Amino acid sequence: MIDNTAVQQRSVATKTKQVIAVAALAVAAIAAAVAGVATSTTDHHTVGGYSGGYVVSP
Amino acid sequence: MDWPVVSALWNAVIQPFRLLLSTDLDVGSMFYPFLLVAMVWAYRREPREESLLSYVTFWRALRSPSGTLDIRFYFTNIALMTFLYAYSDSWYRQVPQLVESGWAWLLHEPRIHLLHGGFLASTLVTVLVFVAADLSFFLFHMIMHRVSWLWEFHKIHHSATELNPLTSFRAHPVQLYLTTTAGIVFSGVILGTAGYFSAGTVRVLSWLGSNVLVLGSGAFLLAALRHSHVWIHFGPLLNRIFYSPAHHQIHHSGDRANYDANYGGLLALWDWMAGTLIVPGRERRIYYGLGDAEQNNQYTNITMLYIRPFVNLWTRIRNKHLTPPSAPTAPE
Repeated sequence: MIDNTAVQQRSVATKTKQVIAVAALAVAAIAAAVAGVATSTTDHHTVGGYSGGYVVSP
Repeated sequence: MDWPVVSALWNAVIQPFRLLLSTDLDVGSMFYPFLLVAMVWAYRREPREESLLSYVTFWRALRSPSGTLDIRFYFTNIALMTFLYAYSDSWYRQVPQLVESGWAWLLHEPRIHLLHGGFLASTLVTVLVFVAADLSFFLFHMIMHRVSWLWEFHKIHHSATELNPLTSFRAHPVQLYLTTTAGIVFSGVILGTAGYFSAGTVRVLSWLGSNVLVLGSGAFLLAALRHSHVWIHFGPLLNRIFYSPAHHQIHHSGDRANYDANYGGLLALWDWMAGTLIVPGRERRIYYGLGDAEQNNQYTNITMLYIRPFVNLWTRIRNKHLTPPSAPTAPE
């Protein structure tokens, strides 16, 4: 017989871990965005990927 | 060893990392918060077997053979392109000046002060530069699909069987050089013309050296998710104006009928006008790649990505068989 409580507890624990991991990712994403803005220079623009042609210095 | 060469080599090595902290539409870190919010929203919209963490980190795609090749090619290709550009990009900056000189020669006036460099004129020029860059992307993308020898170079981009943002850089140097040049020439014509008729007083509205409209649309249209499993589009009406990640995922489908559709970059308007628009609908699983395993298997390592277009071209020239990929084919 399956112990539903244990299964539910495991599911909640997994979900909590996922939420914590995504929250950590969100903090990292914001930090990376801030770092990107702080360190971005204008001399990188000629080497882009698929959309390289867009990023043209004015 | 000559110091400029050492400096160019060093720049080439660090450029793949610098690009992550740049305004690049596909991997630039300033877009990460937008992307994360969009991905969490997309994840919760449908029941999925994949965990949220795996979904938002492109884990499945990055661990696939296609994804690991994308990672290795990203570092190799960006370094190579940066090294090559170190010796060839100076003329890019001269395109607007050349256009200005062209106008001066045509009208026998060094400059004409017709436009005055206020906010309105600058906004107009900013919009025009954005539209020019997007139109050039659309046209050259379509040409790469329809001109058989260019398709051989573009094929490596379509050989990805799993999409992740680094797939954007799975592009042959020949393709990158042509599309980047096209964007710069199209934008340069607008910039040079605006410069001439405003006596140099009009400026493109920019942030961190990039057109604000390009940056804004890159963020709000989620450009980095075009090469991903994240199916997001903007609804029946806006899908005809703006290009969503789902538009591009359809374009990458291994189904040959979709090769000739959704060529746009940030605006779907061009596709709509050209009759090449496939409007995204409900989320569906798409199988990416060139349609059959035999073709996909021609592009499984870095050397093949660089060399295969030349080998295929040579084979096709020898066999006198140059059929554009998007030419209508009879159902098999």
